[in-house]
Parts: sequence; C-alpha cells; structure tokens
Amino acid sequence: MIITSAKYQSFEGKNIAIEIKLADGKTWSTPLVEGNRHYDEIMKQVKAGTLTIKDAD
Amino acid sequence: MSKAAELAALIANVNNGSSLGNKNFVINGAAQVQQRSDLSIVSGTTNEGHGADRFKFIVSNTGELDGTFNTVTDAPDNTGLVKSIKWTTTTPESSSIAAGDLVSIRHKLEAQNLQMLEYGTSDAKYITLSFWVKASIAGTYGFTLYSHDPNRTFSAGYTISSTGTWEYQTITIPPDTSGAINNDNGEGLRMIWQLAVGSTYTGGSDSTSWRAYANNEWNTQHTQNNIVLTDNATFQITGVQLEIGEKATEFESEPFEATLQKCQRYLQRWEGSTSVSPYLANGRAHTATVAITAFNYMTQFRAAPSISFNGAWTYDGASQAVASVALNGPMPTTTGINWTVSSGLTQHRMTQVYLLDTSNTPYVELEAEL
Repeated sequence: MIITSAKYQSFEGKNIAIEIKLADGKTWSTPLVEGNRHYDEIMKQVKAGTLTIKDAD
Repeated sequence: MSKAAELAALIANVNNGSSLGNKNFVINGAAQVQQRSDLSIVSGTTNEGHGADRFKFIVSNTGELDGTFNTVTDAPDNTGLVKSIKWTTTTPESSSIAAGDLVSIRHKLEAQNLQMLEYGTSDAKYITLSFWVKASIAGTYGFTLYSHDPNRTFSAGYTISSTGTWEYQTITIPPDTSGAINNDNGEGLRMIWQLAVGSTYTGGSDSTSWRAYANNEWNTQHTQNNIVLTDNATFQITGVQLEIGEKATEFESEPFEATLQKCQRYLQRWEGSTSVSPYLANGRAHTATVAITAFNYMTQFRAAPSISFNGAWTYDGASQAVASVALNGPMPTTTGINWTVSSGLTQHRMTQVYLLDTSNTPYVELEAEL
C-alpha cells in the first residue's frame, strides 16, 4: 500500500478518523481501530518512520 | 476424476470432518462477484488491489511491471464454471527477476472460519486445494499457504503442461499440529499463487511439511517467472476450493446472492451511474459545511470499515458537492458519516446524500478486507 499522505480528521475537537491518500489516487477515511487494514498499515509505516500523520485542520 | 473416485473422495472427506454444504473455505472461488472496477497494476503507483472479490494481486519490489487483474467470462468446459480471474502483463519487467521481487495472487481466509481444522493440536486435519488454471506460459509454479498467527508456511508446486489450456490442479496440505490459528476475526490462512519469486524467497530445502517462516522457504518449488517477463502473458484461475480431507471433491457451487453476501463482509459498494443518482442516507446539516448521516450496511462487516467515494452530493433544498467524508463512530454493524462540503448547508435542516457524476461512475465503498 503506497500512502502518499495521512491526516487526522476531527469533529468537535476530537480526532475521529484518519484520511489517507494513496498513490493510485484514491482517498480513504480510516477508523482509529486495530484490525482495519488501512489503520494497521498506517501505524506500521508510522512506527517505521516512513509516514507522519498530520494534525486535523 | 471418475464418478466412483469422486464418491469415494467425498465419503472420505465427510468422514474426516467436512460437511456436504459450505465445505469450501474459499469465498468467490468461481469468480462470480466483482464489486470493484477492474484493477490496473502500475509499478510505483498501484502495487496491490482486488479484481474479483476476495482475490488480490500484489507486487513487491518490481521495477516496470504493469498489468490488469480482473474477471473474465472464460472457464473450463463442462464444469458449470463461467468466469475466471485473469492477470495480463501489459508492461513486463525489463530484465530478470531481482532477488527481492514477489508477484502473486492472494486470498485470505478469516481465522474464526478455520477452527474446525484444529491446527496446533494433534487432531489437526488434512486439507486439499483444487483449482483450474490456464496460462500462456507452461512450467512449474509455486503455491504457498501462510498461517498468519503462528507465522508458518507450507510450500508446494504444480506444473502447467500446456499453454492456453485449462488444467485441473490439486494440492493436499498436511495437518499443522504445531501452529494454532486464533479464534478471531483476523487473518487465518493466506493462499498465494506465485507468479514471480526472487532468489531471496526461494532456495530453502524442499519440504512437504509446515515450517516456521523463513524468507528462503516462502516457496521452494516455483521456477517459472516468465509471466511477468513477457508482454501480454496471461494467468487465469477459477473453481478454487479448499476443503477438509486428503482428496479434492467436485467444486461446490452456490447461489450468486450467497457468494455476494459472503463478499460483503469485506467490501460493500453502493454505485450509481452517469444517469441514475440513488439516494444513500438521511441526516441533518450540523453546520454550514458538515452534514451528518447514519449509514446502515447491507450486512455486518468483519471489522470497522474504511470509506472511499466518488460523486457524492448533499441535498437540503440545494445540492452541494461533497469534498470529503469522515467516519464518525464506525462499528462493524453501522456508522455515522460526516459529509463535508465547501459551504451552503443550512444548519439543522434535514439533509440527504445522493450519488451523481455524469462522467465517471459515482460510488461509495466501504471495506474491511483482511
């Protein structure tokens, strides 16, 4: 999975999801839940130091 | 297989724990369901994805390989099968396979559906894989079964004798008495049809038993890499079945809607067209830029899903194009969705969401793939 960017999505001051953009052009809103393959891959890349999750707007 | 042999195999498998219905652990083995658009693999941009539901194509470390992965109406005669899963190389690798290259078709099985295998105990059972395969290049291809929780592999090979001809293959897999599969909704077994295996992932000692994961044991028998080195090369499979027992039995057909519902545990797609704009959800405008709707699924997901979309609009007396979505309290059974527009919603007014795109297919896709 080639993730080009990741950014938290917030609602009423609380992070509720992560928006990721993939190299294939697709955008996903991903739950903050282990077992979701997008979330697991985001955390794997963050741990490896190859991806940073930006703060929500 | 003769009818007598088929009957004997069926009786043996039933006696060994298989049932007459739902004997196939594989979902969509006949390639009847493809909810997504066709997949194009582009090295460096799209290195993985699904064509037919539950079947994934994945490339790792390749340089130039491009191709398509989708469902086609082509299947072996006199089997009742009508579709197959097809890879076509449109841009081959420009030189030989590098040490770290891997190209494969994969299918993951959910752990809690595999408990009757009793892996990790002395009562673990034999299982048998059967499938039809057709390729434009003959040779010996690898198949790997990976057990996720104990991190163990079983490596096998099979031979495609004739090009452009459907051939029936069976692989019997011994019990894994050492590696237990968790009783949960995570990955249990991963089935892998190898199309290219770099030297890092082969060369281990040939074996007919389960082993602890090691790179060079990933597949010890795969030798034919030319599918990814040859322009317009093709590789197809269908009639994929994994069942308890030491012999393959006839492929278990099931109604389309039964297969679709099984697939929807992992992917659900709501689709409009360039001329039809279905309503999806009702809610209210929370602010001038965010509408919140409840969203009920077609069936329960394996886990909380992710969401993607194209061509969604809100309507609260006027239409606004949706710029982004965010899951709001996602569960396997339901979720809220925040639909963000640039401006124009009237706070607290009832709002509907619909799909419309006059040039591309509009859709909302939720997925909880393994």
